[in-house]
Amino acid sequence: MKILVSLAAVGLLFLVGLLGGLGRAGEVVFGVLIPYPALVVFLGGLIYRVLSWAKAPVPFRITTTCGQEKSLPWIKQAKIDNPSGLPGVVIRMALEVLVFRSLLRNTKAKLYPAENRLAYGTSLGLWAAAMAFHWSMLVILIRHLRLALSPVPAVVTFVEKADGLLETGVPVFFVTTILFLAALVFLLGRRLLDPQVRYISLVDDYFPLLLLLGIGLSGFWLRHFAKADVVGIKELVVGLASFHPVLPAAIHPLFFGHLFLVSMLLIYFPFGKLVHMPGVFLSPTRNLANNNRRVRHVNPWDYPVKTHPYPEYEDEWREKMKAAGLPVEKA
Amino acid sequence: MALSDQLREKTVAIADRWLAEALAAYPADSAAAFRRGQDRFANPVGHALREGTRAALEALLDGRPPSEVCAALDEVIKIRAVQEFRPSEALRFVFALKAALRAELKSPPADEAVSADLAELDRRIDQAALEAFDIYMRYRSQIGELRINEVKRSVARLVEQIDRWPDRANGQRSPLVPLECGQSQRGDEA
Amino acid sequence: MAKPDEVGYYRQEELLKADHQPPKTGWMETPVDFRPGSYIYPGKAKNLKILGLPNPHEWAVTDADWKLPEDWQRIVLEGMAERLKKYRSFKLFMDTCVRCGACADKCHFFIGGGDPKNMPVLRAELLRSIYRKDFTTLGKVLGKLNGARELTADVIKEWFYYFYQCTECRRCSVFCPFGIDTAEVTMIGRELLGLLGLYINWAIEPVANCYRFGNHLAIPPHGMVDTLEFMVDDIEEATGIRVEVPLNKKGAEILFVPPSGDYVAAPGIYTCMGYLLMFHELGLDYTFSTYASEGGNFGLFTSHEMIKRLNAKIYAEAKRLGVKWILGGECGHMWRVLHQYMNTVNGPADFLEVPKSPITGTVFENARSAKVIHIMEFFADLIRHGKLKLDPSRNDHIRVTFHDSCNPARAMGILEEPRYVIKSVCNNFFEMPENTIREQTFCCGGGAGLGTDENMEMRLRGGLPRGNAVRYVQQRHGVNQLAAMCAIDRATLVTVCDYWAPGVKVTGITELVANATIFKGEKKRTLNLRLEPIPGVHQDEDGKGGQP
Repeated sequence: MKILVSLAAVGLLFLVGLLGGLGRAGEVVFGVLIPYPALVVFLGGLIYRVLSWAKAPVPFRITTTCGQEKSLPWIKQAKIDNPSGLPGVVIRMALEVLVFRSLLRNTKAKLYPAENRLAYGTSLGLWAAAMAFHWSMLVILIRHLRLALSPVPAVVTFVEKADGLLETGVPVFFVTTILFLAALVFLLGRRLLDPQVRYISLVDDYFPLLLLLGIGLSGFWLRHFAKADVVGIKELVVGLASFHPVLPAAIHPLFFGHLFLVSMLLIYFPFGKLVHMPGVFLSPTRNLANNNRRVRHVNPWDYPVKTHPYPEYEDEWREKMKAAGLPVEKA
Repeated sequence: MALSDQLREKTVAIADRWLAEALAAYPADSAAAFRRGQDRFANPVGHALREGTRAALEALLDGRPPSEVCAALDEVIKIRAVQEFRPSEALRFVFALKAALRAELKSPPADEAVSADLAELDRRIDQAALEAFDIYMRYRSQIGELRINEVKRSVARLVEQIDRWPDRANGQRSPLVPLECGQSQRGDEA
Repeated sequence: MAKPDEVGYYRQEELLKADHQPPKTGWMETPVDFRPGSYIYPGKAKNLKILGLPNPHEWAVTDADWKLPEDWQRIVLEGMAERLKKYRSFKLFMDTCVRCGACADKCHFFIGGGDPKNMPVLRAELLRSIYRKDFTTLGKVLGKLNGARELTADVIKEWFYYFYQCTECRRCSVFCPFGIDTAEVTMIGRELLGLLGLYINWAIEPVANCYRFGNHLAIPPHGMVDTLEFMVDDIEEATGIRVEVPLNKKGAEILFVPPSGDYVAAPGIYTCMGYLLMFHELGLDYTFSTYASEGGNFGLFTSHEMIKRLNAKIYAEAKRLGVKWILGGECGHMWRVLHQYMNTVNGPADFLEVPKSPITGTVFENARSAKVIHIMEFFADLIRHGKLKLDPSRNDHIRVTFHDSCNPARAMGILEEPRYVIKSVCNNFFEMPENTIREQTFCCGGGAGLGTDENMEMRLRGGLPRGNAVRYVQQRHGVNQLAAMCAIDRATLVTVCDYWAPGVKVTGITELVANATIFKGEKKRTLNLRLEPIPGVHQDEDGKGGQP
């Protein structure tokens, strides 16, 4: 049900874009009028979400420690997994963001009964798919800069060249395109086939996956089958990027389907789960040093509470305390 | 071919079926987790189920006595005794072995000798199932004992102190205020 | 149709069919089934009254009507709104989960029981679903399709069941790519339930006791004198040494704060005897306090405010007695509070001095601000400097493994000190499998207020992954003792081991240290602190049990 709704939604959106690309008026709407507000919603929404998190204070230093703390000088500290200061935190966050370190912790033990020996391996499926997906997405985004920037920066050309290493097909197939689509299919398949993950999945999980798949497939089709006119597209995108939109004639209608899905992704991004991207940077269990005994963390909304002070305690027990030989404040 | 030989050829398939039956007591997503995880430390339930059912099946097909068949299931029953099952749900899987055996017999037994063998196998499974209830009850009462022991342990020192009280000289001080131990179902009772 | 005892019965075709799977319902449509052995009794009204908590009332978990206050929905939603503003952790953890499933099989309750709502992701979804409905656009628009639902009385029951089926052990948080910590979610969930007067008695009664008596077990000051003096007698019987018990002593150098579990129940009492002996041997100028007689803090399992209310006594007492610094005993969650919260909630402790070992002169820079150190940090430093006269062969009959308690492991990271100490006092030490120790350690199943007895089945399910690993080292290495530096572990793991790894006893580390220490003026040691004969020693004429 949830997946069907998501599939229908993505299909409908794609068709709307595609049909729009068939007429001149539609091209204006889907090529110019929608991308701008989509971008505004994306940036505005993202800033709003990040600010809404940043505005909430971090009252306590609740680092999740995954190794030995800094204590006695002769005990080896796990400087990254249990950071005691900024450098450790920066490396920890970098590993978390760049290589999804926590997902790598899935160790699996295997017993070899013959030797009565245990060995450990890492369970890599989810980690590998997540890495493939996120990194290829980044490369694809960089590659797309070619369409928006004139002249094309060297880094873009370099990435493209590296990505097209296989040198098969005309135009060349990019490694990341394949990886991106394969990873998406894996992640979607996992969501559908693994009963545990299916049980917890929501529209918010299926819709972005399908949307990205739609974007990936339409882009792939545009490049390799439709062989869309890149010059015209570049003219359009450069125009958009420089706030002087132009609408060249004869752009393949599929491009508008592709662009509309991208616009929808931008609009959807700040509302759903995709905000995990900026969210990971703010996670207090990861981005705080584990040093609250060395450096006091201040709670900005700290307030006085009712306690049971010693004088009240002594008042209640004074006679018994005296009888038991315990010193008291008031005789 | 004798029934036992027919079945022995299919041991792996029967064990898989039986495992599936045993897992069917759990919600589908949990069953999948128990089935998939091969790590005996990360997935002790799945491991015990897999090993236990396999060993019990082998004992059965080897013609060992029902008590040995059942002993192989000890760990599984021990786990089931603390999971949220009614006794009938907890031990249904033992009977499910019958269905698993049949499912791997391609056609109904043709000759009477084989049918009789199957009846004998069923009888031994029934016997093993009955003994499974013994094991189940042993663990259930152990859980009760563990509860009692815990409460005892939490007051044992106090009881000992009170016992030793006369040994201590002055007697001016009152013994400890007794702890409230045990809990009540309702929120109001003192 | 043939009867079962007729041969023809076994020819029935339909009997060859074997196929059944339980009907599957979405988790929102699966109501809570409160089964005995899996829920904890409610907090008594009198305890709520002592603490001045809202809506103290009479109710039972099995009642249809939990007698919530009239405007309970408003209370919960306003409570959520307030906490979303006050805790970035809460706000972020409501928003950033992508339901990747990495945490799903990491919870000991899920591993041992298989209830899907014990998957950490789903435990959080119980709260997130309400958050979506009332605080997010997408949830308002898509409703159930996007995991949003109405706040009903059944939701409250579900929260009560599952937030008190989480030990706040943080194991899932280790594996989450976004660092989502279910302990935070559970803590907030419990706070929200608390606004309606819903607590478990096994947490709220210790809290009420701790507030009035200074310790969870309601030991009054004179009772504490007796308790410790009885230990002094036992220590004398075991070692021939009569130790003194400094209590509420003004001007002492160190305030010692143990968990109160060590005062009354075995095997914690042997650890407490170990403290007394070791401090005597070292000639430490320290004091216990009857007022700050508890470092444990069930406030952590109740609300953030309660952490502060209960823990205030420690710095206050340190100030009143004029000590220089604080030493904390072997406790688990107490160390989460002392390490991660105390300095923030009750500090700054600028009236104290940076902890410095009076024996080795080591300055504990890592506690420079909070001025409190762990007894294992203290012992490790002593042993490193050769200040303890140890004879580990006295523990040769012990084959020991070490259970990392959740909080010291994942909310502090004190992993090496206890191992160093154990290896210094025991010749036979064996680690449990890698994915069950250190930051991946499995909970005892009884933390965070769940260590009572009416939920025994739940605890044993939760204890299965730990018990299973213990049994592995028991079978493989003949392990017969499990060391743990946590009072809750010392109470609950005894039961877990009795069930899953019978024959393995539970001990504190200080007990092992005291049993291996050669004390000045000790008599021939034939008994350990449990007053049991030390195997192999009584035949030994020189009485030293043989130097290694």
